[in-house]
Order: sequence, then C-alpha cells, then structure tokens
Amino acid sequence: MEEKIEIKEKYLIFRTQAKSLANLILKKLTYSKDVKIAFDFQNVKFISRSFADEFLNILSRLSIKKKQFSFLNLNPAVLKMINLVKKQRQKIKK
Amino acid sequence: MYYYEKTINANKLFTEYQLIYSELEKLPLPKSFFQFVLYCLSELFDNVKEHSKAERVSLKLKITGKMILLDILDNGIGFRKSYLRKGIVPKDDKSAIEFALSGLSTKDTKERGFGLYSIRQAIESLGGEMIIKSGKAKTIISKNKIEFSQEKKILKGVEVIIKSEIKEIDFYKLVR
Repeated sequence: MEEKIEIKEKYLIFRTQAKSLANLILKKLTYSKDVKIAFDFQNVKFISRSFADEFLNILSRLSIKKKQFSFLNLNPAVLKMINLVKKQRQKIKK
Repeated sequence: MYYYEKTINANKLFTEYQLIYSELEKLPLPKSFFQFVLYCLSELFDNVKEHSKAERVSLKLKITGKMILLDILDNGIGFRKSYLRKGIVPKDDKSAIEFALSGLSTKDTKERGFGLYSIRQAIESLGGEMIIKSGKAKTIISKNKIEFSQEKKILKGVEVIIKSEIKEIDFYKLVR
C-alpha cells in the first residue's frame, strides 16, 4: 500500500516549511507501516530552491529507514526546481 | 506598471510573498522572467528568515514598461556578523559580501549558499545590475564586472537591489 500526503500550501518558499512538512511525515509514519509515500503537489504553484533542498534533505534522511518516496502532480516549474536541486546534490556527492 | 513599497515585520514575509505573487501573476511578464522574480523573492526572503535576525524588512518592487527594480533591505545583523556567528571570519564587510556571492553558506553543508550566487548568474545573463550593501561595503555587479566600494554610512543589515530589463531568460539553466 501507498500512503499519500497532500501538500496544502500553494507556495513553498522557506526551509522552515520543509521542516514543518517533515513533522507531518513523521506523524504519518508513526501510524502507517507503508514503505511507499507519495507527495501530492496538486495545490503547489511554486517551490523555492531552498525549500526543495531542505525537503530533499529530509527525504534522504528518511530513505535511510527504507521508505520510498514519489511525487505526484508537479507543475513544470516545481518539477524543474526539484530536478535541478537533485542534480546539484548528486554533483556535490561525487 | 506595478509599484509596491512597504516596510513589514520580518515574520510577515510569507504573507507578502503570497500577495506579490498574486499581483505579478496578473502582469504580462514573460513566463521565464516571472519564475526568475519568484526565485529572487523566495531566496532573498529565505536568507532574511534564516540568517539575518532582522525584525523589519523594507521591500520595493517596481515594474515599468520593460524594466524591473527589486530592493530588499533588512535591519538584521548583516553578512559579516552572520558569518562570525558560525565561526567563519571574513576580514571585513567586503569579504563577507564576496563570501556570500561565492556561495559560502553559514550552514555546515556544501549543498547551501546558492541563492545569491544564482541570482548573480541570472542578472549577468540578463545584462542587468545587482547591488549589495552590508556594513560599510557596497558591491555593484553587472555583466563581466564587479565593483567594490566603501560607504560612509554603516548599514546594519543587508540591502540587495536588482535592476534589469524584462526579457526571456533560460533561468533554470543558470541556477546552480
């Protein structure tokens, strides 16, 4: 089974918003044993680079605990930003 | 034509961001330029929130014909103090601005510090101008040119001014 988390905010600009989302994820994980979590970005119009970086930080920490994440309904700008930050993080790791 | 000028409490940045976004959305800006403005606002707002310890922020956004002016001034601790608090020692305010522009983050990670760096890349590509003031230092960046000068008056926080022609920009290729 897959657990779905709907992101309600339209604008995700601050790192602190990613940290608040992390608390929500952790709460969900307390009650769910599902290893797959899908984030629904339907309502999200814009994400900043800072938010994307902090969000991916959080997810990579949770991935260590064998959770799998996917993103749904990303608009083109949100998708571009997430991919850009992912790419940059991979470059830094290398 | 769009003109916005306000001094706000630093903890109201998110509310103002939403307001500005909804206003900008109505303007006939090229899509990629709209994304660039949102990027600038979000990164500069996040910098204020994360590093400045500011209580107030003065914002100015002026869009006239083909030009944009964005001016964000906070009354926080400034670049140098922000680095010093994290054990990084820029020798003066000019060095602190150079550190910030090069992408050196006050946080302990290599994955941060891209905000100002990317804005600079985009501004150079647009042929615009970026002015950064903090403490006694002032830096003016334009295409292939960077000028440093010393101000007589000490600025407590940070001021970032962006001026550019409004045009298409392959923004996501420039962001690091």
